[in-house]
Amino acid sequence: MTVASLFGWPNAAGEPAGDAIEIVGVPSDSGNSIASGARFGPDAIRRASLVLRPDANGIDRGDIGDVHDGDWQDVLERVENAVNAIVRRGSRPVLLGGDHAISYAAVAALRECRPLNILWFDAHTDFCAWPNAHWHNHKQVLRRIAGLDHVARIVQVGHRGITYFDEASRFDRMTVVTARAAREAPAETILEHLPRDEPVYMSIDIDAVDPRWAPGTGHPVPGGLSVARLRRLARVVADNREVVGLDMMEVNPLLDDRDRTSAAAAAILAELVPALMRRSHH
Amino acid sequence: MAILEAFCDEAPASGGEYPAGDARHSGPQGDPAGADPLLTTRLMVSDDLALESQDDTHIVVINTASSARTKLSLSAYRLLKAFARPCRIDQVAPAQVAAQILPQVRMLVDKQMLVDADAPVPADTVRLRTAVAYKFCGAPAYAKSKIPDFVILGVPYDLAGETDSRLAPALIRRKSLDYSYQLDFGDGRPRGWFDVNRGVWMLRGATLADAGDVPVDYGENRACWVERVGTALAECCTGHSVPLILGGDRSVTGAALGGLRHPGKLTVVQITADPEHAADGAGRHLLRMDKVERVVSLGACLDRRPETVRAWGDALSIYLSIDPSIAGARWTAPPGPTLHELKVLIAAIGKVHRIVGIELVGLDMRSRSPELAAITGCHLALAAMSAAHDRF
Repeated sequence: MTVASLFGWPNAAGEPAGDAIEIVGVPSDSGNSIASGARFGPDAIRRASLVLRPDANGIDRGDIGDVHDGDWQDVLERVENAVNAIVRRGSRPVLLGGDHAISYAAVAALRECRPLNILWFDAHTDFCAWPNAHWHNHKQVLRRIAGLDHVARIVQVGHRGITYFDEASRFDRMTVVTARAAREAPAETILEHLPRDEPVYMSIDIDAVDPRWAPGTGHPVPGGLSVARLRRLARVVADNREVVGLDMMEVNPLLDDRDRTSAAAAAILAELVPALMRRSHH
Repeated sequence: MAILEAFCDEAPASGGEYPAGDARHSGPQGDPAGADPLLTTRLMVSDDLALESQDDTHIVVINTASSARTKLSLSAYRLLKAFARPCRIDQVAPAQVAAQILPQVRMLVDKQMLVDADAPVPADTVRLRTAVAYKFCGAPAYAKSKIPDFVILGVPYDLAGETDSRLAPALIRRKSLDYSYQLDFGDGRPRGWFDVNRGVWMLRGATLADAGDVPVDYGENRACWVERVGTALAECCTGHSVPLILGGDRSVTGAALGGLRHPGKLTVVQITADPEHAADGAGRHLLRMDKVERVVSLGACLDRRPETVRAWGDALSIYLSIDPSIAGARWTAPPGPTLHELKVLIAAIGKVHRIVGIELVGLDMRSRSPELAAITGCHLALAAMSAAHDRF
C-alpha cells in the first residue's frame, strides 16, 4: 500500500491530467536474481522525496497492484497498459521500481516513439546471455529491450567492475560508457551518442551510483558515479533531448544505510522532472 | 529384558536368559590366550559424539570431530550407551553373549564411537586447516598433488587488534562468489576475468585453490597459533604458488610472513586506511623479523602516482597487505583513493616488483558496511593477483 506520494504531489486515480509528470510505482522483485527487497523501493523513494520540492507538476498514480507474488507476465502487461494510458493523456511516465526487469514493459509501451533511444545508467550491462537466465530477469533485460522493433541506439553509462566477458561489444547498436569514462569526460559528450531529434527513454539503476552513496541495492559494485555526477549527466540529456519516459530502479531499502539510497534516488528524480516538464512543452 | 535382545535386533536361535549378575563384576572369562584383544580392552564412548536425530527405530549419531554421521539401530545405540563408563565387553554382557555382540562392538570401534579408555591421551591437537562453507570465487579445494598459481588461506584471527574480523574470511569468500572461477569449455584452462575499468583481461590461465581456514583455538597460547599459521602456509603454498591470505586482523601479517617460503628479503607494503596505526603497531613488529627488509605504509593520503613504486627500489619482493576498508566502504578525511587509483597502483607494483604474497586484513564486521568492504576486498585481491601473475 502506498504511504506517501512522490514530492508530496497529489495522489489521483483515473482523471486525466495532461502536461504533467505521472508517477507509477512497480513494487516488483520477480525479476530480481540477487537480493530480495526492491519491492519496497517505490515507497522508500516516495518517503525520501517528501523533503524535496522540484519545480514541476506531477501526479502520483500509486502502485501497480498485486505485483509481489503475482504472475510477472500479467504484471508486465499491466505496467505497459499504465504507461500507455499516461502517454495517451499527454503526460510523461516516471516509474519507481522495483527490479530493473520491469523497464522492459515501459519501453515496450512507447512503441509509438520510433526510433527510440535508450539511456541506461547501470553498473552492469544487463546483457546476459539467454542460457541460465529466465526470460524475465534484470540481468538480461537490456538484451530483451534491444530486440524491440522501435528501439534504435542504446547508451549504457556506469559499467564497471569485474566481468566474465568484454560486455561492451555484445551489441553493435550499444555504446558502453564506463563509470571511469563517465566521470572523466565532459558531461556534454554523452549527447554525442544520442541523435538530437530522436526521443530518449532514460532508465536509472541506482547501482550506477557508487555504493558509498547508494549502498541499498542488490548488487553494488565499487567505483561508481557520485550522485552529483549522475545528476549532471542525466540533466544534460534531459535538457537537450526529448526524454519520453524515465524510471528509477533497484532501490532496496532492506539493504540501505539510513535511507541514503532512497534519498539519492529522490534527489536524482528531483533534478530531472523539471527538465522533463520543460521538454514536454516544446 | 534379555541382555542379548537389548543389544541385538533379534535374539539368536538358541535364545535364552543369561544371569545379569556376571556382567558388572566379572573379569575376562576363560583363557584370554588367542582371544580377540577387543574382549580384554576397556572401551568407552568417544567424547566427540552427539545425537543428531532419532525416531522409533534408529538414532543418527554425529562425530563432531570428523563430522561423520552414522545411523544406528536402537539396539546398537543401547550397546553404545552401555560403555558410558570405561569397561570391558564382559562387564557389559556375560561371556556367552560377548562373543555374539563382538562384531557390533567392533563396528562401533571402527567408526570411532567407542575408543580405548586406557590408551594414552593424545596431546591436545588442533588441525592445521579446516574446510570452509564457500571457497574463494568458487575455486576448487586445495590438493597436495597440484601446485596452483594462487593458494587462498583464511586466518580468522582477531585477538590482537581493535577490529571484529574473525568472520571476515567467510564474508569475503561469500561475496567472491559473484566472480566465480571458471574453466574454458574448449581448453579446460581458467578463463580469468575482464577488468572493465582498465579494459584488460586478467588472470587468464591462472589456477586458484582454496586451502580453507587455519582454525583458531581460543584460549591457546598465541605462539601456537602463529606456528600453526606458518606451518599451514608453508605446507600448502609450495613451488611458485602465491598465497592470498584472508584475515583476520593486522596481526595476521606477521604470522603469515613466518610461513612464507621465500628465500630473499621482503618489502611489506601495507595499503590501509590507518597508516599511522599500521606503522606503529604491526609495522614495527614486522621490521623485527629477519626476512622483512622494509615496511611501506600507504594510507588515504598515499602518493597515487604509479611511478612512486619505483622509488622504493628495483625488483623488490613485495608482500602486499591490503585493508579493504580503504576504498569504497569508508569515509576518510581527506577522501581516500578510489578503487581505480588503487588498482592502478597495485598494477604498477606488480610491473616493477614481484608480488610474492597478498593478504586482506582488518575488515571490521562492526563497520558501517562490511559487505561493501568485502566486495572491495574481492576486487583488490583479484587486481593484486593479476599484478602478480599478468604483470601489466
